[in-house]
Amino acid sequence: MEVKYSSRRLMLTLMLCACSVILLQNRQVSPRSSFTVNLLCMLSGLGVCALTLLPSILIMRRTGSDFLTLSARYTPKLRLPIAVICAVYFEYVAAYVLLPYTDMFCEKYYPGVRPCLVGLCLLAACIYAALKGVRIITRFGVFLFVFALFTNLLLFTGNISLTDLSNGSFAFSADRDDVFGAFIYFCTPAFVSAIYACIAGETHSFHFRQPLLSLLFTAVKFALVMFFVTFSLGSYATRQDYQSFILSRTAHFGSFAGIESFFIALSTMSVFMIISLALSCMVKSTGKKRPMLEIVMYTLILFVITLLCEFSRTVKAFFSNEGILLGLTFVVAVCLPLAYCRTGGIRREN
Amino acid sequence: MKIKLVLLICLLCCLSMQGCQTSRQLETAAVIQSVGVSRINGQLCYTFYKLSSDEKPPKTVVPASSFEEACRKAGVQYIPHFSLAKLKMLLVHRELVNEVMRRDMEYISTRTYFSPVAYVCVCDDSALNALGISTEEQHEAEQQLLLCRQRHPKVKLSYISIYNCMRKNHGNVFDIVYLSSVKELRAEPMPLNCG
Repeated sequence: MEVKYSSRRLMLTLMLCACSVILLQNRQVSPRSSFTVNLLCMLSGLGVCALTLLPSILIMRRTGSDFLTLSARYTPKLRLPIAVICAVYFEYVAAYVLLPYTDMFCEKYYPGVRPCLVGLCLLAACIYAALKGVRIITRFGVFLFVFALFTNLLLFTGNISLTDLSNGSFAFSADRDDVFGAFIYFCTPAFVSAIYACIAGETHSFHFRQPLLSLLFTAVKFALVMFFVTFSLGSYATRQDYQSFILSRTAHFGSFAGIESFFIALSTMSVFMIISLALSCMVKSTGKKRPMLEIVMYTLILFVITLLCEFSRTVKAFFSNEGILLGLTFVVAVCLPLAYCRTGGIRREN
Repeated sequence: MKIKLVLLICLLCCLSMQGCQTSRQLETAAVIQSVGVSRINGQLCYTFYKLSSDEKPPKTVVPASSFEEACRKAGVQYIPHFSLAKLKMLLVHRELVNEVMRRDMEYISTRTYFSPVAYVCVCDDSALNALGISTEEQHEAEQQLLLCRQRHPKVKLSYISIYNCMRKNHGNVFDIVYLSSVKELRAEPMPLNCG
């Protein structure tokens, strides 16, 4: 019999995955728009994320399962196309988060090292985590949550002394293209809805307030990062890539300055968790009991993508496209679960 | 056996890709702790003070027309494998503020390796000379800068705060730290017109 784990743990993990989006932020939030406008974009983006969670929540409330389990039970003939869709989607998600991470690592933290090597090391750890399963990954999420709290505390308190409200603006001033770009960017945490859609059935004790709290925490984290980028970094932020990373450089307590290592560690663990969960979802869609070969295969494809992106800007631009990510997310997190919303019996409580 | 062979090939591939061929070893790296900008014999010079356990900090004087050129020349001709990631202080001679400050600050803002919280201050001849005499003096200067900021909270000391003031207060005046050394090192606010 399948051992289920608490839904709270999964939501905590997904919240950390969603928060990682702002850690890897690189010029997607326009400095030309005011803080208030960016805040509104963020709230609307996270609102869209909440909407993409709804179909999976409906299935969860009704059947206590997820769409992958239902598809395996009621439409076994569709297993292959669904597995293909999931594989394509989660490869894209994994590449989408891995590329900015390796870029940030090699550009800001350790210049000179090859991005594909950083990717390879991380992917090796992800293979192990994916083999262990979602239950263990979410347990790691609890540890990461504590670490994230500590790092964020250092990040924000260390920047308070640099905060100057005259560095930015609260007025409604923005360029239409920038607003649209920021809105699309803030919709990207919706990939957690797709992860939730695939593995929600492995959890118990779901309550509606859990996703709401997760999104609320994500919104607070995003808002704080944007606030400090706007008012602590000011114009300097417009001159540098990876503005959230710069925050970790400017964080200081007296003569002690810079918490880049903490920031990179948090980003590494968040990206590791997203990729591990993505691999787990891909494997679950195949329905294999011993998924070693599948996991290695998916990881190899991911490594090849990382390698290609190092040499080709076109490939990199393709795998960094928010529009494609959101389109695919809509299919996996909304369309597929909606198709199974009316399928299956009424939930039987254990 | 086949798996071991594949793993060995993978390991060899990884070792060849790690990118450490061009890495800097700690013992051969020159970590720059502070940079002084002054005019020596009529020529604009950038003096790079290296981090060292010696009583007198090793320094390299690079004649250049800008900090960008000085960094380039230093890396090629004077201090191979030098690193500016741990730069703590940028000291500009009082007479050169208008000439170099804005231009060099703009250059630094585009580089990823400079610490945005490094101190930037203006100083006189004797203060610049004192810093070259001993490492103790450099520590003392750092303490004086911090004390000055404590006494005058509005004074701008870190690179990032000065840069932001320069960008938003075009033509306006704000205070930065002026380091002088008549009998001993002393830091006090000095108005800077960033126009």
